[in-house]
Amino acid sequence: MASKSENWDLKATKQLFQEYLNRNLKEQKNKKILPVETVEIDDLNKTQALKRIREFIDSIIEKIYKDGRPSIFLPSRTTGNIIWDEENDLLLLGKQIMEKQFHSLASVADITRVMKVLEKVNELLLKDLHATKREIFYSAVTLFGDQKNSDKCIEDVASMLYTTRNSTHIVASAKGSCVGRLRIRDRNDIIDLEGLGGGGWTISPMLDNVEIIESDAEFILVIEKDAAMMRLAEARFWRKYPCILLTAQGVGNVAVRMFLKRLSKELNLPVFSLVDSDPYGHYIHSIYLRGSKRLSYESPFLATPNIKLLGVLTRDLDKYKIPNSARIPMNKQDIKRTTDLLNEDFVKKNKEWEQDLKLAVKLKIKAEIQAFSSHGFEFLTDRYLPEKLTTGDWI
Amino acid sequence: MRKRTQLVGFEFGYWKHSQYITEFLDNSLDAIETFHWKEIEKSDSRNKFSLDQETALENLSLMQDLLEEETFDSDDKEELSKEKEEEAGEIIDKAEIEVEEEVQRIIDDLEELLKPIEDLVDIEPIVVVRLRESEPPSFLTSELSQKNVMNYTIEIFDNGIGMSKGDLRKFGKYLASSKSVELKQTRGSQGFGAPSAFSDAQNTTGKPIIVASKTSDMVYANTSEFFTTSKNEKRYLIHPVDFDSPFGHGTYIKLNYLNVKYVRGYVDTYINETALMNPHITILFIDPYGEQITYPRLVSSFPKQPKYAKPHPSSTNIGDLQDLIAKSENLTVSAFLQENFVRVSPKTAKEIIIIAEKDLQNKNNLLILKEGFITKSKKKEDPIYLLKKEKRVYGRSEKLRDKIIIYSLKSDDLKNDYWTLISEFINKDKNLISINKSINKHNRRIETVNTKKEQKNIEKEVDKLVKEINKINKQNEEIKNQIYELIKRNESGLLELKKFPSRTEYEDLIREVQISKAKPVELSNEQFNSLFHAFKSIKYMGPPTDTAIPVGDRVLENTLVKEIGLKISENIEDFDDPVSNLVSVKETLLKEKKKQESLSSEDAPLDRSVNNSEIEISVSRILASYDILENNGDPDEFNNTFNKVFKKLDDESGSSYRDLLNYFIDIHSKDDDFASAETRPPTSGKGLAYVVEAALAYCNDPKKLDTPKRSRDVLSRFVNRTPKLRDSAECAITKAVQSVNWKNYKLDTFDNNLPKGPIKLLVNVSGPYVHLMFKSQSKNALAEDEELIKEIKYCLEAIGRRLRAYLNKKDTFRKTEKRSSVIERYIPTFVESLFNIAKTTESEYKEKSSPEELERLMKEAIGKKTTLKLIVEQRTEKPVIQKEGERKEIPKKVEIEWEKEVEEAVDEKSRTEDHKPETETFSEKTLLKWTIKELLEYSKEFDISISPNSKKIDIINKIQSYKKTEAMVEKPTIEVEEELVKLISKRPESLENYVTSKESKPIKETPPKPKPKGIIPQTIQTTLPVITTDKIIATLNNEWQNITHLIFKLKIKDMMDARYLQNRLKELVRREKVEMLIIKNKKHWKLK
Repeated sequence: MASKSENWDLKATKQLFQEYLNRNLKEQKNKKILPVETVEIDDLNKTQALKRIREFIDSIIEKIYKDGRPSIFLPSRTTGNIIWDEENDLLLLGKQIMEKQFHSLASVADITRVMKVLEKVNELLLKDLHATKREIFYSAVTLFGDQKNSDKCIEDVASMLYTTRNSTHIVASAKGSCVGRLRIRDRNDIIDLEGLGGGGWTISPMLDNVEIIESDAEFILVIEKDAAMMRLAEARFWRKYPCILLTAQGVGNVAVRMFLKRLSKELNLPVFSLVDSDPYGHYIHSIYLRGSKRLSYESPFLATPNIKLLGVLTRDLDKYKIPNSARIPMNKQDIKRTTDLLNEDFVKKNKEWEQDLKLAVKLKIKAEIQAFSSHGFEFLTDRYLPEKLTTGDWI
Repeated sequence: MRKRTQLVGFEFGYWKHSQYITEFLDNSLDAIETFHWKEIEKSDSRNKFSLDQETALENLSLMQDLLEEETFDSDDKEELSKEKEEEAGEIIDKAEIEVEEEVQRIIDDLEELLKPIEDLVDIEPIVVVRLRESEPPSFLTSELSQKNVMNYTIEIFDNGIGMSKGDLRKFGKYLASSKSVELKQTRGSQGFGAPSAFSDAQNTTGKPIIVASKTSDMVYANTSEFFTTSKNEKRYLIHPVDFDSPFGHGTYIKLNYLNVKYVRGYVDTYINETALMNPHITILFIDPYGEQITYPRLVSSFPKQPKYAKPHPSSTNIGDLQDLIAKSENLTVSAFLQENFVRVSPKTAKEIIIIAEKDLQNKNNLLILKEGFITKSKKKEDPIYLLKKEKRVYGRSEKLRDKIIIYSLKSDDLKNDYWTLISEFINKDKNLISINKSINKHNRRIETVNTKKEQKNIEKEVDKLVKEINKINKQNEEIKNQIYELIKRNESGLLELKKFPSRTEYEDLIREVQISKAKPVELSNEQFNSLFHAFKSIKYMGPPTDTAIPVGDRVLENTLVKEIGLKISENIEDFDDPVSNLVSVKETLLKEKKKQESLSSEDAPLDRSVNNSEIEISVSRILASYDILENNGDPDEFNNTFNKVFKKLDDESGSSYRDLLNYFIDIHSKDDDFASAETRPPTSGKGLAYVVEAALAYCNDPKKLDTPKRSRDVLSRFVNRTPKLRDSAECAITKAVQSVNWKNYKLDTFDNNLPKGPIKLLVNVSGPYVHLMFKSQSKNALAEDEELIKEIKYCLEAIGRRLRAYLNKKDTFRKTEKRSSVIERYIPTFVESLFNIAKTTESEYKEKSSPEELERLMKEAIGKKTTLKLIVEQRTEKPVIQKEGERKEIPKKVEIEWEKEVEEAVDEKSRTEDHKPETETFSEKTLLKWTIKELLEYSKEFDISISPNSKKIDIINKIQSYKKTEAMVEKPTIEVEEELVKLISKRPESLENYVTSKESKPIKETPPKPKPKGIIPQTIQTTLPVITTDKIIATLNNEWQNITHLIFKLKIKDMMDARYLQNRLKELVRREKVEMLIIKNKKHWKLK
């Protein structure tokens, strides 16, 4: 097997890389234009954010003086108000506005919580600190009651200020890791991601402190599962094929997605995802691709529209002769999820993807990345990935 | 002495106490009512009750306690003397001296009882009942002594009509009651009660009955002591004696009886419920424990006098008819029927008689012909006689006189002809009998049939048969005529029988058959029976309903409210106009208006009138406000608010004024209890006229009225105002209450489907003949009658609907209150966060505002949008904000837009005048309070761009919402918004000036037409306490005045208010602000 693997030259990947480099030179000139009927979200720095908060507070106090009945307005984040921007392949917020009144039993708790979060955000910004969602929750447990409530309010605050969550200095807990041919600076520490062993660098949620220094990678590989990541790291995959490996251990959280976005933007590398061959895996891919619905307003800052789905595709199962023992029959819920995915606009637009999902529904089969270990543990690193990357067998 | 207790069963037991009370209390109430009704008919009555005085009964109990011991002493003496007599073995009339002593004792007793109420005894309708325990009798048998039996003395006094000497002599005999003569809607009816009670009393104790009575026409009262005897006669121990009575009119009865120990829950319940239904009479009850319960009179008018009701044929039974006929003095049966029964016209009377006569003819085999009579022979061989009255000379007189001549039919032809006719007649009669049988069959079937359709079918058939009967009857008449003609034609075939052996027999037959000629008193048994059957066989109109007099829903409601102490805001319509107040308010209003107008535009006409009804309401509101002031303990704040708004009452289409009203309504009626009564229109079915009424109270205070544990305590049943405590499960009233689906009306139910909750339910059935509706002689349960149950059900359902509305409203209030409390809880947290941010950022409010201020503002905004305080606060606070706003630049865009609109608006105005009122009369304040939806609707109605006022706000709203979406991206919204607000507040003047300069008419003159939020509801509720301490002091002066003066001056018409006034006066005396002096047993007050 080892002798065979020498042959993979990643021709297709290199081509794509070249393409990106060329396109990037052109694209630099024309900026991204968002559709008219969507809300514009800015990434703000500290002082800008503080100014916005001040303005908001003034308006509230003014309202209290006027009739004693304060209320806040924020863009609605319901499904109806989420618009898919075809051109940029992003989910964006529409212009529906929601009012939260203080003197209404339905929203009085909400508005008070939002105000509490805003207070914390203000404090964080003033002191230039970051806090996790959990920390915010514990700052006023009785008021929030449940972390769900505080998480929702954090998003409310961000959208209310028409800014990204990152700009509010509230970060998600670190969950992802990164390894490969990359050198970064976290405040004063220079970290070489090649020399961190198998574990890699835990992606810091405080990305505004992180600076990308250099990289000689030719592509980025996002992996759904930690186990697959370990496999690749153990094989020192990046030594043979210059790349950066990234995992979020499941659905990509804000920090991972943002880091990926920055990597792909700054380094201009082709991005591939390696997920399970099941609807959930495809969903994870779609999150990287165009952002989650919940945080749709932040999509421009989180989504990586040019990510390619490398595998595991349903068609790969036959192609690589995955034995029946490694194939798992789909249950009802899986089928439902798959059909749901098939109804999404971004899937419909991508014919190849649609076809693959349809095939999955037809065969009613799913498989995990680990299915390849039935051909030996090295199969993934020595055969599957290199072959796909060389032949350009991705969606 | 024969025991006659079976008539109205008196048995040992707790009930016996209440039975005694029932018999005499009912009589007393009747007597009082009779007296009152009699007196008010007289134009110059001096004795009638003055129903306007307050009932000064507070001191009564104290005095009573003092008297209690004495009375016991005298009682003992009495007993001793009696026992001596007992020992003597025979009751003999007392010697004269002893009689004098005895009478003196009676008078002393009476005076003791009446002393506490001596001021009131002639002016206040009052009943005093005293029940006392005396020593247990020594002669108890072993059977009785086991039962814890005691001797009881009951004394009952009423200041009713009293009895004349003659009446008094009859009193105590059976059927001596006035009611057996005249049937009115009264409580008792048959005259068994009192004699039965007397009989039981003397049977169990062997003591005589003492009665004293006086009518207003008598100078002295009359008293006697007696036993009743088995011969329905009286044996006097003291023959009727005159004496000086402490009362002007009334009756006093004292008797002793033996019974098991008195316990509470029977007599007191009975009296309590009686008082509920008879709020026009004061009732005092002193129970054997010496506790005095007072039920003061609660209303100032008596119920209407029920009309004398003639019995209705359908409800008359054979015994009644017999009695009436025996007593009648009429000469003809027809006259008797017409006179004694309702719904019997001459025509119906004739019909009855014809039917009766027909029956008699058949029975006696004698047919009445046009002239004379003819026998109806059954066999061909029978001789046929013709009886005829002819003018003949007979006897000693030589004049022609009527004589009955008997002929026999001789010729065979005639006989044959007669026979053919008479056989036809007999056949027809047979047919009639069979038809009648089938009718009866059908009638019996109707009762078993379930569906209405079948019932109708049967009824149709019966109708057919009845028609046939009529036809046959006519034919028979025809046959009779034919017979008559036949005989007339063949007079030769007749043979006069001069010596006829059974002549008198036939003469009797003639008399028997001719019921129409008979005197009612002289009717024979057979005639009577025929008459009764005929009487019952005819269909009559229902009885007139005006004989049934209900208590009245208003009275019932008020009684419930006062008796339970419900908190009910009264209807505003009930409020007696305080005329002077009205006038002064009107003047102030006008002055205010004039002042304002002279300020605003000099050349405006000043003849604007103030709407009368509006002032009326406003005055009530003002008074209501004082109540709030006293209740809520926040007088200053309220007063200020009130004054501010009241001054502005005139401006801006009175919107602030309306806000004020709404505010009061809300504040006021939120924790109201509920009381509602319903009186059905009188109905008559099955020969009885009656009226059904019900009242229901719902109380929020468990101290006053809690959910009863037993289902029977929920419902109080009354018949002709008399409470019915026993046999509740069998009563039609209970059944009707159970048939209502109370869950529909938001009430829980007991297992037996009686409603459950903090409620009291009263149901009263009144009518002149209700005693016929009882199930049994004990008169405790009404018999089930479909019609009656339906009536009660309808009545209860009407109340139920109101209750549901009330409960719904209460729910809403509770929700609102809960909401405010929840919101209030969040305010501090919210403000803290808000202010923490404001403090650390460079907020413009950093220095100007404080958390406390913000909190206060937000708290005040809780609740309804249109609260009064809110408006006022807005007025005072706004300028501050506006000043701040001035520093900012007005966005140009908005300014231009505004100018454009003004122009547009004015153009529109000059073009179409009709639109003016609508567009002009709204103040910006009113509009600000409108919901966007309303505004949108409104602007739609008037083509958005035209009407400037609504348009403005509308635009604000639009801009607000529109800007908000973009505000965060580019510019701060608040500045825009604030400027807009500022502009609105400026607008009216500018616009006004603009318009007035152009047109001669001031726009303001147009009346406020479109009402933003519905017109003020018609039934606005509010308590209206007329009396305040200030008012009382203002009424008092340096001259002595008694309470009636004050009541008059304060225009009090309600007893509760009068009592309140009394209490206030007492307090003032205690505080030494007012002097008090008793003149002629009445308290007088003056200022110090």
